[in-house]
Amino acid sequence: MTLAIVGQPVERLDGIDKITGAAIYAADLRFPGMLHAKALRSPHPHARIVSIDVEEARRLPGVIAVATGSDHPVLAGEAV
Amino acid sequence: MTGGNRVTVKTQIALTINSTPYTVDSGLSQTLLGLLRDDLGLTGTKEGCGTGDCGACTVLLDGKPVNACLVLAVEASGTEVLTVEGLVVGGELDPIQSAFLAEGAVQCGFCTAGMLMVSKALLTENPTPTEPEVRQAIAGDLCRCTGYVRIVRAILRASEASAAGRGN
Repeated sequence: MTLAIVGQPVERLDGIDKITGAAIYAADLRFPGMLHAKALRSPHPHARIVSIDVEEARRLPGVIAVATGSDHPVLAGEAV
Repeated sequence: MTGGNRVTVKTQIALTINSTPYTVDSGLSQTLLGLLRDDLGLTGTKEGCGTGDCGACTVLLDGKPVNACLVLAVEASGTEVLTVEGLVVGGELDPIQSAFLAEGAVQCGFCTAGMLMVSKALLTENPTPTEPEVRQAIAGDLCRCTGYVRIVRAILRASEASAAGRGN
């Protein structure tokens, strides 16, 4: 018995988009006035954060906001 | 990307992209990849590493594969650039594109544009490559889905298809 799908090569639904460059990935999105974010991670594993001085970063031209953990003091899943 | 307080010197360059002539103002430090993606909206060419290691941004510059992240836009002045968007001619897929589809050589698709472009360059220069030659040609292109076997098969299939088309 020959089945229509099982055992048959099936073309990807998004195949044409991907081989023609038309597929849109997150980094391909552009919006008017779109801002860019950059995550700065600790260079030290298992380090304790004593303090974070963001003043110099805030003063950089074009910087709209600098967010650190203190802007979000409750972690996901924690009881409020 | 905003240049902050850096002085941005722009220069006018003329180049041909996918058979269309363009005259654009480009910052002196702008890469060809930035010009294609950010200024011209040709986002089919992907930025993987941005440092020439992964091959995702491969385009053809006067027929030769280059990492568009390592080429300055001004260096591309006066050249002919071919990107993945230029592979379809007259509504027809390039045989390499059809082969990638038929062999299931596309998974997440992020390396696909680069893979297609190096394949295009390979088959133009060497229409009947051996499997080692195919592997050598794609050595600079990383596929993190690790779909190399199907990619190699697709390139060989495209080679056979064009050989059949030429009556060889």
